[in-house]
Amino acid sequence: MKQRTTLYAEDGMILTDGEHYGKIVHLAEGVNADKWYEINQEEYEKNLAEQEREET
Amino acid sequence: MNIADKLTQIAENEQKVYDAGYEAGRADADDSEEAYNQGVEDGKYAEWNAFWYVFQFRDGKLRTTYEYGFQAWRGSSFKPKYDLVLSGPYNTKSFRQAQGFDLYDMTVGRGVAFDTSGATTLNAVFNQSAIGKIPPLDLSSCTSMPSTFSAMGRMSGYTTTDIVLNNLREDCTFNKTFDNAPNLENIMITGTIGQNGFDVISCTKLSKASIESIINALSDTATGKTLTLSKTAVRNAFKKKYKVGIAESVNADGYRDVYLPSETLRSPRFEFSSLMDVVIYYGHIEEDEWGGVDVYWDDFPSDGETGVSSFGVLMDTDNMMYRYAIRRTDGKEISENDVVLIDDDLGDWDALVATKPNWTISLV
Repeated sequence: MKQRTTLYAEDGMILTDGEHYGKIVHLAEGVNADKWYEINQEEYEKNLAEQEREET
Repeated sequence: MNIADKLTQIAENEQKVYDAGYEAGRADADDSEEAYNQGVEDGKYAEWNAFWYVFQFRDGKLRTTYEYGFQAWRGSSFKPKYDLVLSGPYNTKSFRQAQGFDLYDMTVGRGVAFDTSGATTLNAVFNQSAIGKIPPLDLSSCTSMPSTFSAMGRMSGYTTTDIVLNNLREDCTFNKTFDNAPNLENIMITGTIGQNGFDVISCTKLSKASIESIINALSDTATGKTLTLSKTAVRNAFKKKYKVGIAESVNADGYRDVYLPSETLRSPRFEFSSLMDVVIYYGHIEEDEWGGVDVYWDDFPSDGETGVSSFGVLMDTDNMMYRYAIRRTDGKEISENDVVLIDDDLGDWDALVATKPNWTISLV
């Protein structure tokens, strides 16, 4: 049976899979949580800025 | 005559409009101010007719592409005469940075249709705009919405708070569609979201109905897709608010008690109507050694030295034997209107998320 998992970031941290971000992430059924990891706020903002530059 | 020539002519015609009004007034036997004003209005109307015909018709056919057409348009001069049809291939940024008018009032509100049913892409159409209410968008042909509503929060004036997306196709792609659009409160969708996920992180004021509408529109068959929402929006939309009761008389310690609603609250939090200085006491009711009931009072560390807007409590869900007493330190009486009880437990949210097990739903 497929299992749905919810991930919670620690205070001051953000979860990411390299593409999406979240403080609370309800994973789709059957999705492996292993590819999600925590980054801090500074890294999060840096990543967003880099994405912005790549797309403009 | 092209548009640039026409705009030049309009500028030159300002004096002609004045003269036309003057002459019309003069032609009237009584040379009245009323006749003069009517003449000016007639001149303006003739110019309005001429301008919008030139602007909205191409070779005798109604225009269907407005690429940059109304970019940076300002103020009350936006009064199209004919239906606005955005169905051609070139409608990029048609209302980018437009402001100073309400799009709905100036189109649908005046009997002028706003028709996007034939548009295949709506690229940055409303980017950085402040044009109030946007008519419902028919997306039955649209397969691409890059930056459609992005950066609407940068402009002030006619703030857009509501978006209605009808007939959304499952193969429509979204890319930065709602980036930097914090003023949006209502996004209502009919159709299906399924191509490449959906991101409304910037929309921190989204209503509960909007969040429900978005989640209900998520494809039931798509896999590997992510919906990203603002955590603030979800919490504010799904938290429950309760009116508290305030005791008519003071308790034995000289403060007024707060009565909680009868429901069991897992994460109660009080919010005050304004920043105020208070001392908050809570009483834990226990049986004493003689079999009676005593209330053991303690105070919160906030203790009124600075203003507070809220405070939360971690409560044993099985034990509702708590009482609260609140004293304002400014000497005023506390009232029911000063305090609202919030339950931060988002029970309805979990049930909603459960309806789309094939989607990853992320809150930032």
